[in-house]
Amino acid sequence: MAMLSFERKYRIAGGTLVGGSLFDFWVGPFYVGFFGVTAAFFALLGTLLIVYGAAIGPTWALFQISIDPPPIANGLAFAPLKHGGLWQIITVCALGAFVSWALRQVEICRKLGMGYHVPVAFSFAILAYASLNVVRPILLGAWGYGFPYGIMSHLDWVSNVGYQHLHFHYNPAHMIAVTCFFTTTFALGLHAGEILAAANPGKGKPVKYDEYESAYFRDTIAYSIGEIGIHRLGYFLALNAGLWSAVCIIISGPFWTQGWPYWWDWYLNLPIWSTGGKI
Amino acid sequence: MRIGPPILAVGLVCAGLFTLFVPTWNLPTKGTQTGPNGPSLVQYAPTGSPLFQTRNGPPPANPTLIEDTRPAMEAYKNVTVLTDLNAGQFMQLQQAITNWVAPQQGCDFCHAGADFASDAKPTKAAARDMIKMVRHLNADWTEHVGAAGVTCWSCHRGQPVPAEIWFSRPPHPQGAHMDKPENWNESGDSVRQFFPNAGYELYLLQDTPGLAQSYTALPNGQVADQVVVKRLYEVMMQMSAGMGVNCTYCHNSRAFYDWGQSLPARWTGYSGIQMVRDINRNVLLPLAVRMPQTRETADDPHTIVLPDRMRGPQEGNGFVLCGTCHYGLPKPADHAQELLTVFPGLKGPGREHAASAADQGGQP
Repeated sequence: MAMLSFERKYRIAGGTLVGGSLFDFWVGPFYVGFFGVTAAFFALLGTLLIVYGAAIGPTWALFQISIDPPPIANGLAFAPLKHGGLWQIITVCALGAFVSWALRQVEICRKLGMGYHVPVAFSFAILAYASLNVVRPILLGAWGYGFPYGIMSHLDWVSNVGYQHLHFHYNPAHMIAVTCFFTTTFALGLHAGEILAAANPGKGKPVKYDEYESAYFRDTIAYSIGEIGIHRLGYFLALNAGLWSAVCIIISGPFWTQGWPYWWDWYLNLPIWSTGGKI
Repeated sequence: MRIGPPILAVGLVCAGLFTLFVPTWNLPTKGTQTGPNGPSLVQYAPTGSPLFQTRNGPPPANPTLIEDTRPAMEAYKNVTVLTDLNAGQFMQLQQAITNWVAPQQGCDFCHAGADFASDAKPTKAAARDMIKMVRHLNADWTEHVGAAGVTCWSCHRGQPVPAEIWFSRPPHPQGAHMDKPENWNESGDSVRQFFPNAGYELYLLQDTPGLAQSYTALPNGQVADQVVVKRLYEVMMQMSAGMGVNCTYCHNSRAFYDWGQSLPARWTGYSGIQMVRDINRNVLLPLAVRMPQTRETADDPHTIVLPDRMRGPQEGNGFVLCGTCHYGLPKPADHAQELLTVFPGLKGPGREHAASAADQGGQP
């Protein structure tokens, strides 16, 4: 496969975490590496197991296929293949593939002499998944608390876990997570607008660069976070969205079993104005 | 020295300590699965309010049965409801009712002094209505109360007025509450106590259908009024709080409306709503006509005694909701099944009997 003119300088040998130069080569434009092989292995095995689960399940209707976790009564034990065992193996495969991918990113970072920002950011996404299907089930004492692998069934799960707490928007960590999600997309939208404006100044006008952009924002809103700063802010917002998502689901059940609106009763019961149960 | 980082660190530590220690957190709890494996239909152990917990103790000991096999109608004067009991059973039930409903007030709560046959007190007529109601519920509402049934103790738990009831109230005057004509309560120690009662009137007194959710994913012209949906939410929340369960006890929440995706408990709950409407409309509303409409706190044993948090003038009459009987548990801890074996007078002949008696020209 033809190589782009600038591509050669990225094809750097070494920097692998395990296996030395065993898989240190490229297939076409793609770096392989030991973790590329394990990622492909886990992804393929997991996908095939989902197809197998569908084959032994009641339906081939795409929206109805569901690989369910074992019943809650099964606790944290291994489950029979048809009754949650498949879900357990697929969960291992998923985590294997996700973690392999993160480690492959680490290897690429090492080859290029970059910081680990990309694998660290991706790790927060893995953390969110692990919180849902590993950490929270372990804290609650049964794999049955994990979400099922199916298009409609996982939506049912999300809805029902929300309504187990009557009104999930009152979950304080969920509030922070949602705020970070919206703010990160809002910031990205604003940043995109700025970059598009600077890079497309109109016919006959010069393209603008960072100093011009900073000056523009200092003139209009009295502050510019700066070229590196805006990317640090985006990174901070995006990672906190993932982090607080993980926190909000881990506290729902293991640390609070009632409706989330009632959690806020602590505010009404502050000794400043509480009547101690009497109105 | 830069002061930002230390201030930030102290702020974070304070926020962390506050989050850990100020709110009341629950420790890890194992839940109970009520549906299939996938969709997480789970109930955690009920953690109802302290009010509920203190009322879920055992009932008082049953009074002893005196062997007196004369029919109660012959032994006592002015017996109109418990006509199928013998004198011994009648007296035992009378004493039990006193223990269940008016243990502090005693017989005088309903009876005018030594003349037990007298109908002078309105509370006596109310008690008759209540006994008729219990007999009707145990005979005709097995759809909801099942084989366990209900007794006076199920709701009263040693108090003349059950702890969990609601009052129909006039709405706030326009503009009185931040210009919002919403019937919110204005104080409380739980957010539940701020909820208005308007939904209870719509759904627990009147026959309002609870059809609010769209049956289709995309807009189809079906419109639900926002206020009606809010009222429905209030009613479902009293159900959830009164029984100590979450929405998934009955519903698959993605399709609340769909009976095909609901759990069997939803049918019991639905018949419960019908039963509450029956009680509120056919028993408590007529009762309201005969009872004083504005009541002050009553330390005088001969008037209605309200629970502490309902003291003060109340307008309108008290009505029941799910928590009146359930006291924070999906299956009330009212020991009704054992009590009903001791007190057969609490189960009536039922509607069918009344209908056939009416056909034969007899008194229902």
